[in-house]
Amino acid sequence: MSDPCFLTIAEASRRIRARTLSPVTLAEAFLGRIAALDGDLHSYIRVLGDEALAEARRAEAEIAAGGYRGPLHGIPLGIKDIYNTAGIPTTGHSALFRDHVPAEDATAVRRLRGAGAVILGKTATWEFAIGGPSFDLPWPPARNPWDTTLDPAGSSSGSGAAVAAGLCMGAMGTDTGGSIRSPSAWNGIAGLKPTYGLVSRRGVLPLSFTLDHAGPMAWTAEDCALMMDALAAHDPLDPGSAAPGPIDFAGALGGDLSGLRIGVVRHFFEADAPADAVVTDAVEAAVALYGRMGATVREVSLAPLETYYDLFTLIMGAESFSIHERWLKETPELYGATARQRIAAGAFVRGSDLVNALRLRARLVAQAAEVMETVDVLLMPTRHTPPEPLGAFDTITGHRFYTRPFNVLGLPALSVCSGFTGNGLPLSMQIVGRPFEDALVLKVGDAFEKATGYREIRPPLIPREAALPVA
Amino acid sequence: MTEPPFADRLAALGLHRFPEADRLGLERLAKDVEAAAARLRLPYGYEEEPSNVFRLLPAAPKGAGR
Repeated sequence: MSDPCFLTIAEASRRIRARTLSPVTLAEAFLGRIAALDGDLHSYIRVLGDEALAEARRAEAEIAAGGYRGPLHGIPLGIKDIYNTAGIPTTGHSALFRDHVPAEDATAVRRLRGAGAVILGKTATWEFAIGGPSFDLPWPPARNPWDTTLDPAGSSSGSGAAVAAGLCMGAMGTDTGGSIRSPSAWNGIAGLKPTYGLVSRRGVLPLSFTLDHAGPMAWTAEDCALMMDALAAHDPLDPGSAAPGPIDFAGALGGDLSGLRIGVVRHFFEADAPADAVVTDAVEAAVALYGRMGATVREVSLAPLETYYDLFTLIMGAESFSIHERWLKETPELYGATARQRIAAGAFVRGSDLVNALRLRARLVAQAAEVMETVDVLLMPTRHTPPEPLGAFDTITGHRFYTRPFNVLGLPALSVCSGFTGNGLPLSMQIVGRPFEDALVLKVGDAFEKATGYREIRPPLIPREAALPVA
Repeated sequence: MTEPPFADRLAALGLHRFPEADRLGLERLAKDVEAAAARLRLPYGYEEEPSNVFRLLPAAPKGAGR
């Protein structure tokens, strides 16, 4: 592939280290592509052209002087616009925070910069990571590069669209109920919601303290692993930060899967919230492939999907309303309608009902731990359908999908592209692991990607009617 | 007992400025919240504690140079 914008982080970093690829050339290529294509895609709400070029020049000079920092040195990334960036507006895609200019970088951004990454810009999000896709905000919603009439899903919609379209090599997302994995699914990329506490949330605009996760989105699981090597660290400034000790994410990839025990949570997508047949067929094909790789597969059960949804409704509702209460009372007109309604609904959560939800959460965590003594990873689809038209999906009362349980449980969950529909739209599956076994989850996803050809297919980035012949 | 009008409930919560156009949608979501809460009013053990990430750390001894 000759266009440097379609290299993976892994390949680009090999070339940068060998000094056959210039970080400046790379940044210029991405900025040019953003200028040419993002007018239709709206994946960025702020492009940092001059700053990115200055960072790329610095990276190039350091590498030339023998100061290569590692696989992210000189790699162009996008940052969801709910991560604080020092001196650069961080809006949450909201009029309420239009003038919010943080003094410090979020810890995750600081760690990426420390690894030498080049920040191309701030990517579009649902308002405060909950209200979207919305057309009543200061910036338009991102669109899906596989077909710009389709929804890229959210809330990390700009990050997902930008990675898929070759407008950055990787991006940061956040995930409270699926906001890394859903846009990864509908944009056909890889996205990891790490174990709760593994990546710092310090400096990320909060939505729900006990459900929020920060994590990477990239074209491949391997690239997510390279980003995790830079991101995962204890942060004493994040009250939920864990200290599991050093983990070598990229180093864990490769090797065979002999003896791996996979549990398929079939009731989620066959009974609780049935998935489209094309989605289910792709998961079954993946199960068969893993079997040929030496894994054993069995069916396992968790609590019904609806129970996780109920818990999520109460916990997210109460926590998000507690964060936004003052602004919703004083300046509700500064929110878009969707965020305003979804967050205000938390005002109706009674205290004892919230405690009930937290008591049940403890039960479900214990139940999942028992299940995961019998298998190493869980497998299921990420979304129940391929991408749907932008604006058609009701995010307030819309369908059930399979991401929220793992926010409630805090377990690591990776979405990877599991194939394509007959008309070329991406499908997805989700791989879930035990706490702090994110590296195994990435290994299982990486093995699937390398055994299939799906990572060779990029979106056409033109309207579908023009891209494909009508049958 | 009859439930008070939704506008009164909003006012009691301090949300009297909430836009009229969004109130039907919010009322629908409030009902979803109440239905979810009702489904989770299960029998819980007397000592059954919520998930809890609160952890105290021992104070550093005096003179430890924090």
